Amino acid sequence: MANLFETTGMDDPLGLWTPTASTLESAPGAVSFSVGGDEPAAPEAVEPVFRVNLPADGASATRALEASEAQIARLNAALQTVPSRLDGLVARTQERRQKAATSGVSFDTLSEEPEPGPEGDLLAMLASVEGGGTQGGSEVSFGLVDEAAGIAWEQAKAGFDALIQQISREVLHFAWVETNIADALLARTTIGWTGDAQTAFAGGIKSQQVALHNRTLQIVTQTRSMRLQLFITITSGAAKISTLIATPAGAVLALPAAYKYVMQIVEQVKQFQSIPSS
Amino acid sequence: MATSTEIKEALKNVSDQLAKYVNDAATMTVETSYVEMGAKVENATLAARTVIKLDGDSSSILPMKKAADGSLVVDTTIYDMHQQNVQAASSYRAAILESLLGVLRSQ
Repeated sequence: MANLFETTGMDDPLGLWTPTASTLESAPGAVSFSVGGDEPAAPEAVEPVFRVNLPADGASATRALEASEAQIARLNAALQTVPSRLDGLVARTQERRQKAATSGVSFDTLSEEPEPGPEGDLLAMLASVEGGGTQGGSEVSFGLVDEAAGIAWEQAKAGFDALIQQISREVLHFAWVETNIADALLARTTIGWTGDAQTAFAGGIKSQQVALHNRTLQIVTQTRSMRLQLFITITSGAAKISTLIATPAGAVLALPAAYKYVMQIVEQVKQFQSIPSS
Repeated sequence: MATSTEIKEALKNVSDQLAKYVNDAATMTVETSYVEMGAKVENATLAARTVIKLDGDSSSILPMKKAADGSLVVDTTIYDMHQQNVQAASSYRAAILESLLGVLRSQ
């Protein structure tokens, strides 16, 4: 059975779309068409395809889109809180350090009131860098307290690298957006970053189905916009986090640390969404 | 694993691509076509096209059909669908531009 929201390519960091290996809709019996014009009849392998498979029942289809829109709103709200949360964390941490410096006790002993949640995990991650990273040539090596911390850093760096690759790919290419209703392809739009769009509708499509396709387009727009917002949140967050890292490699360490911190907040939102309402 | 140089290079590439986007954003073209159910790819027919330029100029190709008296009238069904596409593309462009400006500000 097809997923409600499918996309080709890499995992969606925001968890809105389910990755799939297939590209354009080609199910037997379904209408298959191109958008014509000068555009290619099928996307290149690197061009993302967003496909929404809606049920035939209009009310169910609307509910499915509403659920996705609500999830996007929750994620957006969570990302908006990140700058102020980091500002607060930096202020509290620097205050503790100043107290430690004036009282002559070590910074660690002042961790009697540990930060909860992602903030606590972020501070623990930063603390795992032992005595300062070293930077030689183009390679960065970290003196880490334990192997587990090293793995966490590696995963965070790999995740941030993947996000950059995904954004770079999407900036360069069109998105192909398909709306399927009851297993039939009814509308396909190719849309570029500049808003250039080509839409092909199946003959006989109803106005309510056109409206559903436009809602699908809005969700794709919000998805791409939110990926950029995620990138902005991480990079601007890294600037704040770098003030907490005393090592020479602080600026480099801050990016994966910010990535891990922000993605932890995103995961919290996704978990909240997965809790069934009573 | 990416090195610091690679990360900086990747960030620069994203910025360069976004700057190119802004340069390319002088026009927006929206096209609407249709095809009969089960028809082949080559039978897709262009029904309407709108080109909007940042300097305020715009041009449109409207879908027309023959009325009972033989005169040409706008096919309002397809035209309405096309107008919805233009609106969707405009909203898309505005949302993405807002995000891109945020990226450029953060660099």
